[in-house]
Parts: sequence; structure tokens; C-alpha cells
Amino acid sequence: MVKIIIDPQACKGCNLCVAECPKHVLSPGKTRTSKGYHMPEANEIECVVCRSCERVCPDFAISVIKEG
Amino acid sequence: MNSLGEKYLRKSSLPTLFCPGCGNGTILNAMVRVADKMGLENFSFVSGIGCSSWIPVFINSDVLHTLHGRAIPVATGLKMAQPNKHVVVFSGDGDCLGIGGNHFIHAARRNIDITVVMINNYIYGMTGGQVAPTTPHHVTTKTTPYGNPESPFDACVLASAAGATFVARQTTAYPAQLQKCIEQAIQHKGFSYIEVITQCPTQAGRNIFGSGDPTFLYNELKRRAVINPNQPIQGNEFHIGIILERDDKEVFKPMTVGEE
Repeated sequence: MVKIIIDPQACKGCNLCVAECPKHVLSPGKTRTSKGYHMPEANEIECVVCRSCERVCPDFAISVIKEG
Repeated sequence: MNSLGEKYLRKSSLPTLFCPGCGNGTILNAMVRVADKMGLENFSFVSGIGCSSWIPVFINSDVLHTLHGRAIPVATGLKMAQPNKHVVVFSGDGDCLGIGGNHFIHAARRNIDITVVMINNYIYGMTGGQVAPTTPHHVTTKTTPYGNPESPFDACVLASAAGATFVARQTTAYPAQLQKCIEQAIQHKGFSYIEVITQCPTQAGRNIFGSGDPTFLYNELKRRAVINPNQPIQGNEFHIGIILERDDKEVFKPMTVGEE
């Protein structure tokens, strides 16, 4: 079970994680943060925990947590 | 904020000052991962002036934010006073090659054991998109509306010729390789130089690449980066990876006067 948590306080909606994700887990989202940026959405079922999104994120907003 | 950010960043200065999609944050991410592996207490960071010189300011560590172009002289002094620390300099293309070019070539000539990470975004980003020493030929910027008449610096060739003993080029489009390269450069004894080609959506993206979309710039850098060193490059492509690594040159050490 994989959980992808995106911090709405840190995310700036640059979508670099969307460009980097090899499995297309992340997609451009519609929900806005309190600063007005569009946060990406995650569909964790396809995630293989490569952590590329964590690595590329300029604002340390994404945490990929593997449970179990 | 993920666990690395919680552990190593200054909470009071967050969120970072970078524009959305700026590659400097990816370099900060890679540096924090290297510091996590090698121990943050062994590091001292020095930076000059520019967007890229904000990178170490967010790390909760020893940071010297110095004059424009004068990051390498300060790092030299710091290395002489604290020889056991890993001194890492973050410098932009204008900071390192423009105003601080003289300091850069002489630090490379002396082979001081510091690591210089030169962030190349092809333009002066902080001041509004003026032409920089690394701006490609014929591209339009705010100060060259009819195209840049000058050829750019090849910073890696300059560093190799000046006497650096570890020279590499990386890009933020390959973050894992970037992290590995920074780690190798820090472990190398002698002057280590990494040119990191990064995306600047606000200035270089709109003026040079034709789009300010960070994902477009990211994929464009990925397309331009050539990994195979034997493959010839065409047009605006560039080689990435370690360009030069040698250990036949003596490392500069502080002298003790009056002792046998």
C-alpha cells in the first residue's frame, strides 16, 4: 500500500513531478492551494515507489510513504 | 513537506523564494540528500549573489552569503581555516563566469579542495533577463532584442584549461545523476567543478526557449542532454556526465611558517 502526500503549504503547482513520473501516477489537478496554485493529483494504484517525484520536487512538497 | 525537508531546512525562511518550476529547488533537494548521506555537520556552504545563490540559505547549516562574484575567495579562506570541512560553493553563471570569472580561474589553477556548483540558466534571471556570459548565440533577451551577437562561454572547457581536477556537467532534468555527481565531486580531493544546466521558466523560458511552462522546459533539457560521450552533439545539445577527472596535481594546502 503506497500513500502519496502532497503538502498544500509547500506545493507551487509547477507540475515537474507530473513530467518526471514514469508511471503517470501524478496528473495536473484542479484543486487550488491557499496560495492559488493548482496542486497535482495522485492515483496511487500504479505507483512503484521509485521516488522520482520526491527527488525532483523543488519545494520538498511530496512524500511517498510505503506501508506494509 | 517531506521528512528530509523537515530535518534539514530552515522552517522560518520557507516557502523558498524560487519561482514555480525553478530548477534551483531540485539542486537544493539533491544537495540535502548528499548532506543526509555524508553528515550535514561536515559541510559549510558559501554562495554569492543571484537566484542560484539562495540555494544554501535554506539549509539549516553553516552558510556564508557573500558579495557578488566573491564566493570562491571566501570559500578559499574558509577552507584554509577549516581544512576538515567540505566547502561547497553555489554560484550562478553571472556570479561565477561574469563578475567572478577571475576568481574562478585562479581557484582552479591553485587546485584548492573546494567544490563549486555553477548553476547555468543561460540568463541573468534575478535582475530581469539580461544577456549573460552563457547566453547562446543569436537568441533574443531583454538587452539583445536583435539577437545576442556574442558567443557563449563553454564553462567546462574553461575549468579544464584553468586546471580544475574534477569537471562535470549535469542538468536538473536528471536529478538522480545530479545527486551522484555532487557526491563524487565532494569526495574528490582538489578543485571540483560541476556545471548544472537548469530551467528558468520566468526569464530564460520566455525569452530563449519560447515557453514559460516548467514541464516543457524540463522535457526540452532532457532532450538536449546527451549522455553518451562518444555521440557528437548537434545544435543546442550538450554532453552530461564527468568530463575530466585526474589526481596527478598537488592539492593546495595552508603553509605553516617557522616550523621544520
